[in-house]
Amino acid sequence: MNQSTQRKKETASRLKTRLIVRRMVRFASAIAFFFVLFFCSATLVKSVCRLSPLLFLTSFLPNREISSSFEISLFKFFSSLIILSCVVRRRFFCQYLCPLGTAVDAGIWFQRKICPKSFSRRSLPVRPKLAFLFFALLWTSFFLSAAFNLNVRQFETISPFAYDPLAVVSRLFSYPLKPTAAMILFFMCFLASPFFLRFVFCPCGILQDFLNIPYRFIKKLFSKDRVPTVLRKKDEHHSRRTFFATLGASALGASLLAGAVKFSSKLTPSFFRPLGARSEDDFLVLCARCGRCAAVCPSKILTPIIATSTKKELSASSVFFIGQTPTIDFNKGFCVPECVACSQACPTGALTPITIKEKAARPIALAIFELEKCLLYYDRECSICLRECPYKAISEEWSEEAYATIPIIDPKRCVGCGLCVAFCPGEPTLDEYGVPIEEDKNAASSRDKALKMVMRQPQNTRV
Amino acid sequence: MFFNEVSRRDWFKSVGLGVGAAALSSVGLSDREAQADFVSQKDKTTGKLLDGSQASPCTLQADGTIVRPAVSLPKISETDVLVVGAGPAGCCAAIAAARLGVKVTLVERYGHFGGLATGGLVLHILGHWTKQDGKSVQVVQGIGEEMMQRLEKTPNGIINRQFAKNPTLDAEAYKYLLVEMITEANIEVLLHSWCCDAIMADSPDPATGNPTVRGAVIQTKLGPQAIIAKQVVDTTGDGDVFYAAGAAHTQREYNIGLVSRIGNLDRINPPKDTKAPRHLGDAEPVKGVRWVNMQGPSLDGCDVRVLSQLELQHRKQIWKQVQEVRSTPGYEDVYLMETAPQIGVRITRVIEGVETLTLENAKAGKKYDDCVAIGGAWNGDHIGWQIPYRALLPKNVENIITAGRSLSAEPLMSDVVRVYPNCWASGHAAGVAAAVAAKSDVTARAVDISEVRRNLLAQKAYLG
Repeated sequence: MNQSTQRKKETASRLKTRLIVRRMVRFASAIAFFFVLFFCSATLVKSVCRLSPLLFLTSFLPNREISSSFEISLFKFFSSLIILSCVVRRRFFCQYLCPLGTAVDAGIWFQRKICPKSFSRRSLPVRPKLAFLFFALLWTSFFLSAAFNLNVRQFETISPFAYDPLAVVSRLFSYPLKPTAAMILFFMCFLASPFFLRFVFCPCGILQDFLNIPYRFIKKLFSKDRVPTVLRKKDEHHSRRTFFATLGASALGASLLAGAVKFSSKLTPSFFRPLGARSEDDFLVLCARCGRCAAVCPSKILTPIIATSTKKELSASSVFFIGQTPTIDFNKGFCVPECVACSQACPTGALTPITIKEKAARPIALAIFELEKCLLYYDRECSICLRECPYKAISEEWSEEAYATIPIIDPKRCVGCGLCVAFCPGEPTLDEYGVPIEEDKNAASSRDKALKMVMRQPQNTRV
Repeated sequence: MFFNEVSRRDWFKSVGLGVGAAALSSVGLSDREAQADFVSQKDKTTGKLLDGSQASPCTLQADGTIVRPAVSLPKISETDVLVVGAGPAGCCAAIAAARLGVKVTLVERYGHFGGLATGGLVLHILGHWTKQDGKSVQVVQGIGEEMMQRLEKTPNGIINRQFAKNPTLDAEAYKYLLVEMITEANIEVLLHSWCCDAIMADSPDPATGNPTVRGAVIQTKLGPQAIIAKQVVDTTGDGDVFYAAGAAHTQREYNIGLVSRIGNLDRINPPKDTKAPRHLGDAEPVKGVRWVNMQGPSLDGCDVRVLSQLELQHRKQIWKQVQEVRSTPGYEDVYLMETAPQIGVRITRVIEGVETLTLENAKAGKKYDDCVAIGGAWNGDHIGWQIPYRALLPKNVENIITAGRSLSAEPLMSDVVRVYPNCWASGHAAGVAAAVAAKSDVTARAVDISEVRRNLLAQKAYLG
């Protein structure tokens, strides 16, 4: 038997064994991840999210303020190990740890079953070069701006970190699942071409490629017997696909960039953020959109921006860039006074962990009052907001002019928990005389409330 | 014949003077008897107490101080349980005590029962429902519930009496009902009597060393008169008796308004898209009549200058409000039916009880061993909060129990306590406790709580 054939066979069997091992490890890691996601405490999930090299590099490195507790040092250590492994082994994280890896495997298997002749039957041989360049540029600018404390917002707000695989999976289980058009599209893309997503769209994967370049370059320099890599293999058969894929990825990258520039130019911080949120700029940079804060919220008031009614006020590009970031929907309830779970659950430090004592000093919103919707204005007895406010921020004052007692909100005391809004019986319903009537309290939620939560303007934010 | 026996001149004279008296005299009397009765009433000598020898006016002394002489007072009544103030709490207390077979005297400063619920025209029965484990529960029952049931049978007595809803009653129907219930219970009634002082025992209570209340002095048109009682229930709202007895209390300022009623609301015909005027109030059982509440400024409701000032100011405001309503197209027929005879003082004096209710405890549903009543939530979505007997007892005076808005509570809690279903509940408890204490001849502090609770349950009160 030909020696080279023999060697080829050996190599093939070795590769096959490695593939099987890899798949098994990957499957086990996916199972472990889901287990943690479902059954474990917020701390553990938060820690697991931190294993992602993408999140590590995009949050821990620029975020110098994160306190160096033992737990964080431990995860810095593990993340560094993973990153080192990525440097020497191409896509180490994808191959062994990424819970989406199994999903990609499953996608491929599914595709082969139902559609054997599809576009991505075989792997994409060549990474679309322009997309690679685009991401490379993004990473470089990001790390440079982080390193030199520059505020290069158009790169920062683009937040490709929002598509970190761990964050994506975590997000899927954090918010109550409501299939949106974007999700369906994403899923169809995935079915059509798992490889496309894996090699072109996944910022974490491309980051790993990026990390791997120097090692491969050095290896190439010192190795005479060059191992033919997938990269170097010129396959005429795939050139046209490569061209289209490159074109597609570049168009995507360019539109992302253009959208980000356009968006960041008119970005105003006009969304409620969970407890302990940093300044809006920093928050958008650091937020991985993993939704852990929403998952641990006991009153389930945290939702992605796209799930709130305010999304209509947003441009399409804004929805794309910040749509998955968490905001507070005060229609759903109020922030429980003795809870700081969301700030504790953030894996990236977009929310600074705070204690219950510090909570009063970190207001999340401000209650405002509208006289003409208040029961007191219609001479009725109420004062429910005054009694319910856990921070004693509401007092009452007699107004000779309105001839009514008016609730006064002290912005210095208001923490923005929204409890008063939740308890406000709301604008009275009118009867046939056009006069407020007593009504079933269960219907109260549908009525306009006299109290409303608004964003704090910088001048009335307490420090 | 009538005309032959009386001269024409006399006849005109007597008609001119006596038309009212004749109308008032009972139907059974003959005309002549009626006339004779009128004459005698007109000329009757009254004011027995002021016959010179007994008059004891105050003296303005040379140094400018005004001194009241020490005089002995006539005793108008001696009773087991004296209830001062016939508001919702007082009426419940009196009825509850009388039903336990003790002699009860009920003192009221106005000429009718019901206090703010009738005289103050506060018609809305707020807060006798609570939400417990997701279910609505009516926590104020007993005599309060009996009143509502009987109002249901009274024409135009009550509306919106449905599950988990706050009903509204009619002031006149309630006044009538209270007369009925209090007469049935065989209670000694003293109306038009202002409680002006407390009567204390000459030696302190041997067990506690505290001064002991033995009755109250009422100010009547015949001067001050004394009522001696074994137990006193202070349901004046302003705590007139415990204040006079020197019990520890806090004086609070709170919104004081004046309620009014407007009529002809069933004859309005506003054109489409007319914005309804603001001060139209709420429906009440009488058709076309609405009662208009008022918050009012937060001031001291015991200060007579404040009250006078507010009466003037609020009346002007109500007149203005009604003119505003009348100037709205379609509302021209609306008119001001009445302003409340009694100004709406919400909270004044609150006793410093052995136990004090706090809003925090109420929200947390704190349980007490000596719970004698359960209060409700205004908006019906709280759990009920227990009223311990110790919150009705003053710290430093014996034999006086307070109920209603003056029971021991922190300011925010007082605002929850003061609505009148809660007054029904606490009044009921105070009445039963006073009766039990009077029967067993112990001080109010030493009363057997299990006996009180047993009697309350027998009278269908709700204790959780």
